[in-house]
Amino acid sequence: MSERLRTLTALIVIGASLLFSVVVLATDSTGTNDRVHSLAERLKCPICTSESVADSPSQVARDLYDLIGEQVADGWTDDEIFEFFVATYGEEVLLDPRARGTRIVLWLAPVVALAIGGAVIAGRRAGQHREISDADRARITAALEEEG
Amino acid sequence: MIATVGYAGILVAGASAIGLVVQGARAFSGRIGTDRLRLPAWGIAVGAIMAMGALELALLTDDFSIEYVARNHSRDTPLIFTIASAWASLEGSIVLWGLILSGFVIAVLRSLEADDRSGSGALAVIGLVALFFFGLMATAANPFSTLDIVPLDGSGANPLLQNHILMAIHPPMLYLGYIGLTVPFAFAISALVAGDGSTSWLQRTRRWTLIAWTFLTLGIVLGAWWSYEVLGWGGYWAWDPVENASLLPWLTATAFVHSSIVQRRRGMLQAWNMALVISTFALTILGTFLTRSGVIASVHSFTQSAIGPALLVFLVVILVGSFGLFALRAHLVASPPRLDSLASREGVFLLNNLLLAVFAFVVLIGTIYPLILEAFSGDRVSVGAPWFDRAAIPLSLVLLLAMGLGPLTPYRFAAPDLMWRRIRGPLQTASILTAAAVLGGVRPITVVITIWLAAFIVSGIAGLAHQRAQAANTPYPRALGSLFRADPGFWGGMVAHVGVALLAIGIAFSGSFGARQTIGFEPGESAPFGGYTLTYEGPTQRDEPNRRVIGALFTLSRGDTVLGTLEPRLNQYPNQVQAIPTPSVRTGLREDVYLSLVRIDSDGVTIDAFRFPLMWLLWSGALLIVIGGGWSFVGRKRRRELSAAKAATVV
Repeated sequence: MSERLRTLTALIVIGASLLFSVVVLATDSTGTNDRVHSLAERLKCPICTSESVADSPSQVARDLYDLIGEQVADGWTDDEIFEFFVATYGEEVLLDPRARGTRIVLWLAPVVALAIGGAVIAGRRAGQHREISDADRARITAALEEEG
Repeated sequence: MIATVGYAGILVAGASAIGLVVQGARAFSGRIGTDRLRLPAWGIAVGAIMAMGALELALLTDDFSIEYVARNHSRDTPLIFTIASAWASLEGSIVLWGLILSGFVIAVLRSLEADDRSGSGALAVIGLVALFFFGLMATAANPFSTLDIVPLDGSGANPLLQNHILMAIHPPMLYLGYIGLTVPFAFAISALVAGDGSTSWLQRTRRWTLIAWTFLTLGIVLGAWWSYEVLGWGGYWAWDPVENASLLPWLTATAFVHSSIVQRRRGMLQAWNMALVISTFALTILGTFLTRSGVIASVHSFTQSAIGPALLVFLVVILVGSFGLFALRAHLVASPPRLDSLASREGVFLLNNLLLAVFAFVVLIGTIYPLILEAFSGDRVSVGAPWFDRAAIPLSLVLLLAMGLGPLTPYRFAAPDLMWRRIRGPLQTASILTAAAVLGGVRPITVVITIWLAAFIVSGIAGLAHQRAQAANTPYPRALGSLFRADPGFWGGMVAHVGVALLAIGIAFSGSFGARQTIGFEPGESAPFGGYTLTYEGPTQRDEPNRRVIGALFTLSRGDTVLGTLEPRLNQYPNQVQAIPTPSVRTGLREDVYLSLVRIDSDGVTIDAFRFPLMWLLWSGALLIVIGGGWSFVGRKRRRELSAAKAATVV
């Protein structure tokens, strides 16, 4: 098989498979999202150290799980349910803290870390000058690769 | 008597640690020879063995005049748990720490050459660390403090320890990892003080780093497995501060394992590697502080014992001392930047390091932010799984992508057409497999992406192995085998990569398709459960020497076929009111069936029934990572010995 043919086959196979996957995923309407469960996963069981309402086997957590179920059935929004829990048990009932007050640190820190790290690497790269052209380098590398 | 011997051991080790610091520093500056380090190094080892031996002897001979024995042992504790009790509680765990550290002291000592300044300096640094821990044993965490009134019997071993033997194995494995990381740290500090810009510290500690990394990985995996098989809440990882404490140094150590390859191959990243090693060591001390001071249970209770503050002060000393030294001297050791192009193996390694460092930073923030907030403002906040997952999932997916590309990318510069020729095969395999999975009904987008990336990683590595084996002159199967022996460092890493790919699929599937159902049964009753039928046969009860076991016997069947019996249990220990539930797990190729007892009485039983798909893939992936890590240093040693033997025969 010639080099060009291999590239063509690869492109077709990869393109077709990915296109198929994307189309199926995009048109998929069987939304099996269990809203009660995902809410319960984001609320701490008030008597546990760190387990969520969804995970804790305690009776309190089971009762709260059912309560969330009723609230969802009654048409409460996510925010209303969170508000209710915060009003009853305090902010610490939220396992996924809201970005308010000093808690903003929790949201900014990862982004800032990623930005700084990326900038350092980019700066390292920019701080150098090249002695040989890209094309030459590619040729040398290719030759070395053929060898190795 | 035993207490006196044990305490004398601690003092001997502590005094020897001072000796090692002094003599190490003198040998470092060239005033004495390295042979003078032998006495203090062995002094630490002998003292540590005396302390551990005395503690074990006290436990085995029921010497309840020692407080530690009275608190952690009783006459009817089974032998195996009696032995393990020596490190199951705070004071004993520090004795084990000292013993393992002394092992590393001897290992480093034996690797010293005549007039070995950097090695001597490293031993002085390890001596300082040893001094801290033996000092802790001699004062705040004395395992040999005695009781004036000797009780007739002790209160027995920790119920969680008695509940499963893994609880005795998991901490020493973690410790081997934690403590092993002291060695590269010590060599890095020694090189910094000397202003030695060569990479010899890195070459010399490479094996220790790999050993420590492998044990740390094993420790974390065993902890997760214990959580799944024993704790009974149905999960294996909860982003709990104790778990995070073990993950943090693992993340930076993993970054170091990779970036040290770049330094060896290309002479880059010297200063960054030192910063990584220092951070990793500091994170092990932070982890010890978090898990051993009680700070997690309550921010305000950790000062009740002197151990918490002592560990915190030690952490600050390490951070200020090491990074202060780093700030003053890093310019002396820094390697010139030699990055030709970001599109290169080095570039992918940099991406790996960036992601792992950010990952560690995120976990660190999420773990300690609640503590800091509460300590300073009294405000309480919970940072739980949803918050960690939001950062961890995208970071892990990009890490998987880097893992797939890395081994296929050439050093220095990856020419686009060469790169394309190398990745198109794996990309085709991955894309076809993904389409097949989607066709088979796999839906959530994160699971689909994970399958694609995992398939890309595995087929890339398989392709590499295939090519190299084909190019060899020997027959194909033998060539494939000899690949692994010829370059254990690289192929051990590739085995670990395959392990990570399988682990990722296991995590994605069990996380997305796991299901829980709470079911009540009367004796003899059956209930449908996710395509199976569960039948409650009845309660069981038996008395074991150290506990009473109350179980519920279930038969699991599909259609008319009986698949097996499961018996979730509650274990009642005399020294604890609350019974400890132990789940019953049936591991299957498609999925695990996992039963956990919620309530049991004569009228019936309530259980949590879980199904988790592909858990075996998760565990075997984790095991492969450990095997890969192990092979990369065992194979390396074997190879070195083989070539030495060959050289000898030639002569």
